[in-house]
Amino acid sequence: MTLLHRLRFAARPFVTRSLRGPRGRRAVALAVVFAMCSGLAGLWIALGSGHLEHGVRRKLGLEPSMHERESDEFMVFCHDDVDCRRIERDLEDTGEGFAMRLDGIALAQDAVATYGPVVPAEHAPLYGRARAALDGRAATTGATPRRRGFDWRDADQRALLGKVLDADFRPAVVRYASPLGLPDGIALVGFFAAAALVVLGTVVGPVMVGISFAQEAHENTLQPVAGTALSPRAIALGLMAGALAPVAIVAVPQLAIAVLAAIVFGNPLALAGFVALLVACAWALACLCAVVGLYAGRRRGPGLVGMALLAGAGTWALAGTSLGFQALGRVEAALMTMLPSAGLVLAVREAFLGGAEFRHGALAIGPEWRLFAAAVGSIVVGGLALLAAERRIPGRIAAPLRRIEAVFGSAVLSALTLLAFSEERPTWVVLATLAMMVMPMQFLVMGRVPQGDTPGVRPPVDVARLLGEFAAFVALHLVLALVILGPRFVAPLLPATAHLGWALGVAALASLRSVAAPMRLPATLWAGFSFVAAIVTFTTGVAIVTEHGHAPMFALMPLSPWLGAVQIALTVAIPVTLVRAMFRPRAG
Amino acid sequence: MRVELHGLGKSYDGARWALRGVDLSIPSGSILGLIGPNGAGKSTALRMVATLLEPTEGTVAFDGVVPTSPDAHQSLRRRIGFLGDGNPLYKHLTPREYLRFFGQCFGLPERELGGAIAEILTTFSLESKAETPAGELSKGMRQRLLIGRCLLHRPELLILDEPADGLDPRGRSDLRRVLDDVRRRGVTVVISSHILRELDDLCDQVAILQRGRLVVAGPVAEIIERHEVARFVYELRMLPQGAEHAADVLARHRVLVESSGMVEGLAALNVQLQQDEAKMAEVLADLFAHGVKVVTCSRVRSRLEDVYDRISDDHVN
Repeated sequence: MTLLHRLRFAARPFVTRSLRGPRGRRAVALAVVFAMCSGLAGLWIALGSGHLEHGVRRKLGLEPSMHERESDEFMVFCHDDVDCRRIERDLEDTGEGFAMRLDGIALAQDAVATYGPVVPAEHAPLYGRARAALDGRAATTGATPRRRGFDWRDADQRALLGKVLDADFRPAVVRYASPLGLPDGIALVGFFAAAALVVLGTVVGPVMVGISFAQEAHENTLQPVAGTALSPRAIALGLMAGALAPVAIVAVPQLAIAVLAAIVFGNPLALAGFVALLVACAWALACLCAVVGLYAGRRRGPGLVGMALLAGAGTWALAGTSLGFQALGRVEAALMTMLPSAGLVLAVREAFLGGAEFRHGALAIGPEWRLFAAAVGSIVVGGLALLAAERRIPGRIAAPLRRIEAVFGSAVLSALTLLAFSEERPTWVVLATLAMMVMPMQFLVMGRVPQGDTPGVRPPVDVARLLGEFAAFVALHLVLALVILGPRFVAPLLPATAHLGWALGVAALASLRSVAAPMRLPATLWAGFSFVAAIVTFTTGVAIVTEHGHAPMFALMPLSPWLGAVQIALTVAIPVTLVRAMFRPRAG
Repeated sequence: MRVELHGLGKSYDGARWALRGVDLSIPSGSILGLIGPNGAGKSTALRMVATLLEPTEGTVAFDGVVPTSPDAHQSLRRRIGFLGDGNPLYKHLTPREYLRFFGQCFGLPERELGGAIAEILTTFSLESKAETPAGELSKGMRQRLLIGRCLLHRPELLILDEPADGLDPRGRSDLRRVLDDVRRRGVTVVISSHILRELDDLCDQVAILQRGRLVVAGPVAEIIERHEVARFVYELRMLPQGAEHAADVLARHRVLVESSGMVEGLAALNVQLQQDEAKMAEVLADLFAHGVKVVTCSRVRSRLEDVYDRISDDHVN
């Protein structure tokens, strides 16, 4: 059986179930409505002449502000007949139009004042016209023109002066209209279609997958499915396909619109990159949501799980959108590698709105490579999440991840994180990337804890071995840092070894504790407190590094000896209590 | 399909055994009843036979072959119908949609699926409810649907964990009819229950589990025969006149009266002796001597429940 046949076999029951009865027709109707919405929204924003449309175009960098356009083209915008008549009157009186006249006069006065021998002779006629115009007009009364200087070498300023003189200092009153044409409108339609794809692929789709898995776990309905001819992987993939089928139906017209728009008036190559990254991100998020749904769904209802996932995916997408619209500097570019949603926004901008702005010149590692790295990271994360999900299908009592898989995941994510920030100072990079990698390492080591599907029965946990594996993740990160950054970070980090080691060890123990033994409220609070203590100690370690070993060993000791004693006691008590909890006799 | 369990054991936590050392052979085409109190390890055993749970030790062989790879398990599951405990059901699917879903999960071609679904709906009297969401069906109907789902792909081995749970008397009768039909098709059936009367006359073989251990296994008649050797129960029917002396005579011979009543106008007593037929002959002679007019005396065959009570130290339903 080919891979395609296997996928079809796995997806068939779940997709049929998902689109049964009127559900398929409803999805098609929704797809048509959404496609029309994208088309109308794009054309409306591109061609509309209202303040809202203008504001959106400005935010997207498609149009300068009205004031800039008025200044550059020596005209005053009006929005309707009444407005136009009012401004015409103002030009003769005081007010907005009058101020514009004063600006024109000031420009001519500046031009005349700055004209001298260094100005090329070819501009003499323009100078002559300006001088004659100023001499020929009656002195203005009231306000004084705002003088801003004039550069005869600037072609734009010379052109503006020409316009001012042509209009005899009286700006034209023009009905405001969008500067964009139909081609820009079609590009904007593509932009909105691509934005809809981002929402569908990274928020709606994964959340639907998470809810679907949570529902199956909550109602234990996967148990009979596990007894069929479908393998656990086929069940996981099929369930994902079933949850994504309606979303895919809605997404297909949007994709078609985006592709057509990019081919006609955009950048098809950038769109191809966007689609590839979107698929990778959607894959990773869908698999992660599947795992969360399967694990959380046993104790929490699908509604609650769905809300939590929506909050998480929504935050992920919004944070990326905000970052993706910023001008790219080194840090933004590095964060973009960690937050692929920003890369998606960047790729959409590249495809339909023109390229991104760069701060501080070009980046050593271009954005396309960072997006590629983000896609690779997403694929790896998605693959590991799928493995964890399929091993949670009923009937298996095993660790969600094998050792080699966890080590591979840790190595790939460490390498990507280090490469993303490799343009910064090595010591800072190692500390920052270690901090960023703590949570992925925690999830990976939690994935190494054997899980059963019999309530109340927990397989034995080899804490020492799992701690060793966590230490191996950290060691691998440092080895990769040595390879990528060189050895310069080693000496500055040495004084903080104890702090960093304790913090990372407690982080590992707290995460192991949460999955290896029953968690009641006090245990949850204690694990949370332990993790906070780990963060504080890690921060102390960073302070020791930045202050070259001069920071106190126990941060609370300088405040009070008692507080210091408490901190020393907690330093011993936290790891001991976490380990002891995992060795207590397990309830049947 | 012939199923053989060799030293089968399962420990969920590495410390305690849910099931251990189970050796069992289930001939092809037979019905095996797995009996035991709650927590005896029946469901664990059945899930291992259904290839849904990996044994901690031992093997399960199907027609002499022990599947080892995941692919082997997958292809084997096409030949197995399994109804687990708990009986989860997609409440928003109609019976027709539910059966279609599982038919597709077993890879039934579309051209066969429609016919198979119609057959199951008919067999389990669900045609009138074919388009009703499963959540709105009665408990018995849901159970029939669940059992029907296990038969949809015509399995060679049918494993039913507590299938009579929730079934009313008619449903139980239907279940017997269906299982008889399944047996006639040569399907091997493994069925668990803690309600012994369900299995007594249905199974060819029984296996009794207690605390994760196999206590006894074999053909039903053989087990009953083997375990009633030391237990002689007779039914005596007497004319009502003179029957009042029977109790004194029986007490003198230390005979235990299990039950008494009137049957077809005759006084009936179920009595249990601690000794063999010679003792019964002696008791009968004494009864006649004391004017008790015994009409019939027949030995009562033990039921599975009696055997279970005898060999177990747990209470069962």
